[in-house]
Amino acid sequence: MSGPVRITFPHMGDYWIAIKRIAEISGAEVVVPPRITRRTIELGARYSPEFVCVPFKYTLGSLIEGLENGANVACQLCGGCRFGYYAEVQEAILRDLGHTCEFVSLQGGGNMLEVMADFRRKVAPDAPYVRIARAFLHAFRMAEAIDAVQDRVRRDRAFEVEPGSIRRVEAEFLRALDETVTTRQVRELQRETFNALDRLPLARPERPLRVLVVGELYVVMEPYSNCRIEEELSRNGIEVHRPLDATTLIRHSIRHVSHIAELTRGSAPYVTHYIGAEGTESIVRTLAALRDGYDGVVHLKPFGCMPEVNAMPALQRISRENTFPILFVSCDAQSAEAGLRTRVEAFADMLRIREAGVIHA
Amino acid sequence: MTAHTVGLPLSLCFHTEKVLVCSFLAALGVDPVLSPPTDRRIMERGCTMAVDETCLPMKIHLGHVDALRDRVDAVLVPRYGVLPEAEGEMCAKFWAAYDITRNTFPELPLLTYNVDRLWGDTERAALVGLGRELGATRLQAYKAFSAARKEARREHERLVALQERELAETTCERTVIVAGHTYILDDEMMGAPVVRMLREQGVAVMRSDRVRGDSDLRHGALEFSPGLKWTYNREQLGAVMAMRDRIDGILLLLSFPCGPDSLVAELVQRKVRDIPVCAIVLDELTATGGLQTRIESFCDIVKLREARA
Repeated sequence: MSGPVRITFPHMGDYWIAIKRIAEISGAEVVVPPRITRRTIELGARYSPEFVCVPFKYTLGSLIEGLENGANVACQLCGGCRFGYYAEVQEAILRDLGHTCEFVSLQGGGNMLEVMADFRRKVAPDAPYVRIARAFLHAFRMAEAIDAVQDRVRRDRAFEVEPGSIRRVEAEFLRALDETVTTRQVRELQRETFNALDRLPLARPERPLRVLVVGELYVVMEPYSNCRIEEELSRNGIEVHRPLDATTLIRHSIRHVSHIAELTRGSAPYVTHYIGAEGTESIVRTLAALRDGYDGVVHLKPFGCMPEVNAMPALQRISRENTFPILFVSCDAQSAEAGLRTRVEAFADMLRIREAGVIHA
Repeated sequence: MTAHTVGLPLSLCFHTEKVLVCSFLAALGVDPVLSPPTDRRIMERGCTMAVDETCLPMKIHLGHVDALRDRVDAVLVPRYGVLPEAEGEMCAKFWAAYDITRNTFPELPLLTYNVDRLWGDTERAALVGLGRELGATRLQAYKAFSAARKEARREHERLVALQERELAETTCERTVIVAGHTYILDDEMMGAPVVRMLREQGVAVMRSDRVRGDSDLRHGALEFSPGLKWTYNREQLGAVMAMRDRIDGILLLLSFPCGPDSLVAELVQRKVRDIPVCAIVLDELTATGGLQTRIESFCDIVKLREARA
């Protein structure tokens, strides 16, 4: 390849800050693609197989936008499920579109030492292991900070007194996070952000409605792909909890088999085997939400997602047998935001009526 | 649990495993009952019970389980997960087949066995476990399994030889390979009508699941697509690659919305440039007019091509 190396990668949520930190060790320039917009998904959907799951379309669109901005190396992760096969097909599509970029598919889970070695071999062959390990650690701390802050944001956002105040703190946090150099700075920034959030006045009722969000990892973690359903829930006065985030996923993938064993124990009697990706996890979380007195669950999945569709008969049965509200949302390339808003409003109304004791099992 | 009659839904894995399991159960003194071939009623019944985004074969599977209800003491729905290293893994629908069935029919007595490398369960260990559950001794179960496996291999060999003979004796000038999962190609509401339509067009039909050469096929598939892990797709792709010089057209038969096929079919269409490729996606709509037209035009293209060198 001629000219300087410029790396790009697809977007997911705000994790680009952490991914960028890792990509930078290679010494190459990192091209962060533009934030996901209507155009991203239109590009992705145009060149994708028709009924592939929607994260394929988003990540393909995001890679194309990165290449348009001058990148010449495209990186994609490989994981479980259909996701593990994305890279190969996306590479063929980019080739047919005439992109001459290099396509690197990286191992995305399991043993962290292998992941680092794989990364070093394919992207940064000259970097010493110590620098790679330090960058991975820093990126992991960044992801942890993002997850901790955003978890807090989801819980508080519905009750802010001054509209937009929490969003401003979050935006400032993300901006500052990008500038951190050491893990200590990340820790300090996280503490400061929590202090700033503590100072904001909140009007939290004594017993707010609480909803747990479960589902497939990409549509759960990329707000654009789920029409910002978490913000929509907040707007309806609901405290949002979402246990699935990048750091949880990484921890799970390191433990893999023992984690799966734990899941299948936890999902009995509804599901006794591992049903793929986050499917079993959705059931375990839903059962936990039921036990912990949540008011309802929102289940997000890409259209046709195999593991999550596998989980649905069990979720429907849990809902039916315990009269427990679950909102099922399928996300695809088209975003009918108004329709989703109506569904969330109706769901919130229903939870409120239930809470008031008008309807009970 | 004592079960005198055990129902096997003729769907998903039982299109490939029925000989093995039937003869295994019969040897243990249990009466295996196969559900009838898929008809419109079974399909419609399955569609009403399934989550609507489920793939068509899984919907049909639920219809078959429903057709067996009340006719047998228990229905057998196995789980096939990650197979031995060389064979890859089954798609997530097979991982969940048992749990989906159980949650759709909570009252129905079910039997199962689990084949999954992750937990160290081979097909033999899984079936022996089932045999023990049905009251056989370990030795009886082992013997029954060995005999059943021999019979299953003989039956597969017979089908492969039959296809080879047909292709050798055919008077048709053109051969089309139909690449699809066995549970689609064998199904009366999915693949079987397509195969018949192709034959009516005067082309010889080769089925991807009846091409000889297990490990060679997988090897060929991995050369074409190194990351491919699904067992059935390796078999299909391997058959297409191995038969490349003997075929004039490739018909990819997919069901909506199949996860693995959505990607593999795309890859084949993008990478195979020298042979006409047609991908047909099957769903639960039963109008055959459009299907007929597409197959006719595909066969026309195949016939118009210059003869193979």
